Formats: sequence, structure tokens, C-alpha cells
Amino acid sequence: MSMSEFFLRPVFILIIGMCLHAPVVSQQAPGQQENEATQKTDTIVRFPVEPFIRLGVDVSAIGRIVAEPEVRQLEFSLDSEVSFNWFAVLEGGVLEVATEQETFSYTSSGYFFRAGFDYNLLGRPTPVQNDLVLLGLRYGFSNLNHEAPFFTVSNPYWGDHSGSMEPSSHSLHWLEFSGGVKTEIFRNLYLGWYLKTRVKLSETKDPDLEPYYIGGFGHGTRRAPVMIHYSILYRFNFR
Amino acid sequence: MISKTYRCIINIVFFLAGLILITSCLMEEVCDDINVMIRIGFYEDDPDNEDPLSVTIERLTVFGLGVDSLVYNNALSVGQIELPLASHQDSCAFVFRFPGNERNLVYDTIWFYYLRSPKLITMECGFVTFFQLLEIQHTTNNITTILTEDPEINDEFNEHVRIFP
Repeated sequence: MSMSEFFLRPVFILIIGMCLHAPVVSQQAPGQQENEATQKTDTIVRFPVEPFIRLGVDVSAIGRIVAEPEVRQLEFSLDSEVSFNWFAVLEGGVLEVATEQETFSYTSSGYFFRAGFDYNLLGRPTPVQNDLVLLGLRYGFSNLNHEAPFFTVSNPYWGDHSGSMEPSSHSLHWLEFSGGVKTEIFRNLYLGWYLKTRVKLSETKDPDLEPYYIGGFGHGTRRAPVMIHYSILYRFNFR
Repeated sequence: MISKTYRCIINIVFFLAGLILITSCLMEEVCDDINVMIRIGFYEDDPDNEDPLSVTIERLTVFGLGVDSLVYNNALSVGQIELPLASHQDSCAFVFRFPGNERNLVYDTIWFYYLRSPKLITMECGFVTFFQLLEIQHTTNNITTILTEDPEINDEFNEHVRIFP
């Protein structure tokens, strides 16, 4: 990675973050403030559960493609309120990694899903639920097939070593704890982000080749316990 | 007013999330930092304590068995060393030259036996080999004992082996 890339990547990702951030700032409509002023109550009212499905797409993949164009991941999410303030969440997607470098080549393809619940800490101060601060728990599963048709390990003292890794499959079960926000920026259109930390439950793998990137989980060899996800969501109401 | 406060909190949290993003990007590993070496410390037993005392070797030379070049050449006051393991085979050996009495030099050879595990670290860095230490054998001219502290030899900076001269 060149020095310019090293410094430009985070700046670009910040711009994406600020673009997502800006509409929330401009969201304050004067009329809304007046409504809020008249509704001077801190009591969380138990409004009825609304039938809806919210469909989301993970846009942090854009930032990820900027940082690592070799890793392509597409992810969607579905959530719906099943009990007051409790949301059932299903997330899933596909992953593809393909690279051919001077010292190695590596390909990987697979799928993943997560299922679990979110709890809204804000309760619902108004009948329209346009802001949510969520704590969540998920079970995650990922399966992929990968191979390294050739690779060279540099060893200046003893001499370089070349080899290849046959195709093999990898599967992972994990638990995920998340905290995040969803906020309505236009009618039924939401922006959301989650900070997630994950704990591996069980793993089936070829001991010789660890996956470079595990779909829905992250880098296989790096110790990065916290990840961030940005998403755009649309709410389909059924009433 | 409640909603306004919450929106303010949300904005702050969005901002903090951006900061975390930047930090995580800047913390990306740089290839030069990935240095998979076996780390060896020199110790002697402490009669007053369970933990051994760290010692330094006055003048130390180390080279791989069958390799022409030296890893350490008459290095002075050495307390810890780093040695590169061979990634093309499951074992390798290093010859240690210690200062002896008067003008005599004392040689010891240490054989390391291990499992190799190539890992794709990043797209920029490519593959490196991690090792799992299985067994150590050595001559006993100057070295009395060798203990394995951590058999996993990867990109962390742990000490793996303790030598008691």
C-alpha cells in the first residue's frame, strides 16, 4: 500500500460516514420541535406493535471495496417488531474473494446468515417509531470454499518456500453482540449502523489454509473483535 | 424535547462511529511489522524466587546449521534473541557460540521441530508461515535446560523459549 493510499482511504471512508451523518442533522423540522414541546412527558407509552418489514442493504461494503477491492460482500437484512420494542432480525449475504498477485493467488466464495433479536432502548415516545437505539444478539453461520493455487513465503535466511493449497471448505458458527442506531431520515427510509463484536462457537476448517475473509464475520487471521456496519433500510408497512 | 435530545445523541454517536472507522483503518497492519520469529530469552535459576532471573550473554554468535551467514555475530550483552525458522521444512537447527573460560569458546546446537501453517495476512503482505513448536533438542556443553513458554510462533511479540546456560 502506498503512503497516499494509506492516508486517503480513511478520509474517503470518513466522507461516506459524514454523508450518512448529515441527513440526520438536517432532519429537525420546525414543526416537529413544536410537537415535541407540547408533548412534555418522559413516560414511555406502550403503543401497539405495528406490522411491518424493514429491508436493509449493508452499504459499508462500499468502504470495504475501497479498502480491499479483492473482497466483495453483499449483505441484506430483514427485521420486524414481534413484541413491543423487540425486533426479530434476519441478515444474510454472499462473499467472493479473488486475487492474483505476484507472490500468490487466492479465491474464495461462500454465503452467510445471522438470526437474532434487537431490543430498542428508546422505547417509543411517540406513536411513530422513527428513532431506535438497539442492543442485539445474533447467531451467525458462514460457509465458504477457498483455495490458493500458488503462494511463495519469503524467508531471507533459509530461502523462500513455494507451495499450493488444494480447494477446501470452511464453516463457522458464532455469537454476535451488537449495539446500534436506526433513524428515519425520510418517510419509511432509515439509516442505521451497528458496532458488533463476535465470539466464535465452533469452526470446521482445513488446518493448512485459514480463510482470508469469512462472510458476515470478517478477517479470518486478524484479531479485530469490533466491526462497524452502515446500512440503508426501507420500511414496508402493512397497515 | 425528548426526541431532540435523542437525535442529538444519535448525531454524536454517528460522529464517534466515524472516528472509530478512521482509527481502525489507520491500525491496518503494515507488512514490515509482520515478523514471525522465535523469541528466546536467557535466564538463570533464582534460589530466592520461583521466577528465574533474566541474564545477558556477554558475547554471542548464532548461525543456522548448514547456512553460511550469521544471525548474530559476536553480539554484546544479549538478553533476548530472535531467530528465523525455516519455512520449507519441519525442523531446523541453530549453533550457539558462547564465551567460555579464558580464550575457549563453547558451542551448543539446538534443534527445533514444528508444524508449519502458511497464512494469508493481507493482500499487500501475502502469505507468511506461522509455526507451532513441537519439540526442542539440544547439546549440553553450555546450555543446561531449555523450556518452552509459548509454542505458538506467529506475528505476536511473545517470548517462546527460555534458555538456561
